Amino acid sequence: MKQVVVENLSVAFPISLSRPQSLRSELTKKLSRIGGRVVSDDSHGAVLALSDVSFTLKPGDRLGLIGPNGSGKTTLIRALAGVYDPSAGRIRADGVIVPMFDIGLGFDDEGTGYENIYIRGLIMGLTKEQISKRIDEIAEFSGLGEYLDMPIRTYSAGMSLRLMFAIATSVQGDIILMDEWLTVGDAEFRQKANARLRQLTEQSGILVLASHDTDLLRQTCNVAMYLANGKMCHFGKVDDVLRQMNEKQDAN
Amino acid sequence: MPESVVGRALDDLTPVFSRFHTWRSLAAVDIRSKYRRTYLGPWWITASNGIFAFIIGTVSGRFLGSNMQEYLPFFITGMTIWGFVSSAIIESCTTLIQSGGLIRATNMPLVIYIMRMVQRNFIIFLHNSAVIPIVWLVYPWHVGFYALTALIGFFFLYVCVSSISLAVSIVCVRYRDVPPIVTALVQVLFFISPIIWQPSQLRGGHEVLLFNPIAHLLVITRDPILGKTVPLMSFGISALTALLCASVALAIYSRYKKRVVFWV
Repeated sequence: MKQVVVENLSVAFPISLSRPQSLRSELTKKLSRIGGRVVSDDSHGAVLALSDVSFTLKPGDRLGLIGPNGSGKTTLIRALAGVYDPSAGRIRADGVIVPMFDIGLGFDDEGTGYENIYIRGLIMGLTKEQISKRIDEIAEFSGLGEYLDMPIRTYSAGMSLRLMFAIATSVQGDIILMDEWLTVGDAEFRQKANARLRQLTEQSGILVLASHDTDLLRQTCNVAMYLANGKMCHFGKVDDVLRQMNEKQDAN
Repeated sequence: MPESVVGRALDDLTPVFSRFHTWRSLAAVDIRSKYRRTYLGPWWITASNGIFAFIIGTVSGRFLGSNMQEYLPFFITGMTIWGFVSSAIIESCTTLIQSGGLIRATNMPLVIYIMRMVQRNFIIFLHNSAVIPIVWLVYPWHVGFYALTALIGFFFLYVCVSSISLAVSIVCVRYRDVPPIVTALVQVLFFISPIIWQPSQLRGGHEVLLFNPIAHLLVITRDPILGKTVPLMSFGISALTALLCASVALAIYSRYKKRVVFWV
């Protein structure tokens, strides 16, 4: 069964690796106002970007992550993607994970659109055959036509985004991880892209989406988590969590 | 439990084989990208190596007073092989550092980044080595089937270079003072290895040939091509070196690969 079980997850970032002591303490003081908790012993400093987070996602769950800057949203997404290793606790994810963040990395500016579909596909772990099978579909969805034979250096920002989006969303998986909803292109393409994302996220068993956009979270998600300073403050139905968050903010 | 540690280390090695197509294709893409919009493409590498050989052959050779018939094939073959070793190791200092964004965005195993870089340098080496037959046309030497023995040599060399690169790349991410040290060390290795000088020219200090693994790796790759037989001892020492490098690299990789993402 596709599910994500996270138990007592903590992720600690080592900081100030070789900086002098005084600078380190300065830095630590600054960091504590926003972001995760800064822990330090004699020899090493670390930012506890996530501490003791536990939750379970069942098939069909669409989790929205919300919280101020540096609250650990991206860290949680990356930990789920297997980029960050938990410093404590564990993550169990059954199903194919599709990371859909930083989708513009690894591209070769001098390469043509087609070549870049290929490069990005390889980085995503696809084989040549798998890429060839998808290439027409990606080309068609991007709507770039003969531009795909030109170096992406010649593309406008919007055109590159179209291509990146088409590639990133060409993979099917069970667990989709997104750091902010992908918004791309002109009005027409945005509609098409939105429809595709909706379809993808509905098909996939599980979606985890970090965003500051409460309306979007309400529309997209059924459960939500409010993170602050690397801790899970609230977890539950999306409306409840957003309400609790607002109450807290009003209180401040 | 030592067994589980070894088992885990070997598991870390699997992407090298299971994702062979990934790093090999990406390396090919890198080469194509580098020489895009040029007429000669990757053959520029060959051409520049050829110009180098020509200069050495016509100018330096005379200054050095060496017998060109013997010296030039020796020098060009050795230099071409050394080019692969030095460029891969020096590039390994920055491979992971420069891929920071991608490391933080995908879960592609780190070893793939290293293999991509080593393979890229190997492709450059293959283009470079096209100069060797040209030198052969000018100063022919006897070539037989024995030359194929060099393939075994290149296998060991490839293992050594990728292992050293893997280890160096991880150390360099953590300690940013290491890259200049590596560059300096590579230069030292160049001078203590028989590349610009022939073993027969040595008047003393023959230990440099015996205890320098690079010297043995050069012997097992270069000598068969030049039609010389390779002493078994050189194969033995090269195999041991490859095994040792691979074990150390794998131990470092296995222990620190999860930390690298926090260091880049």
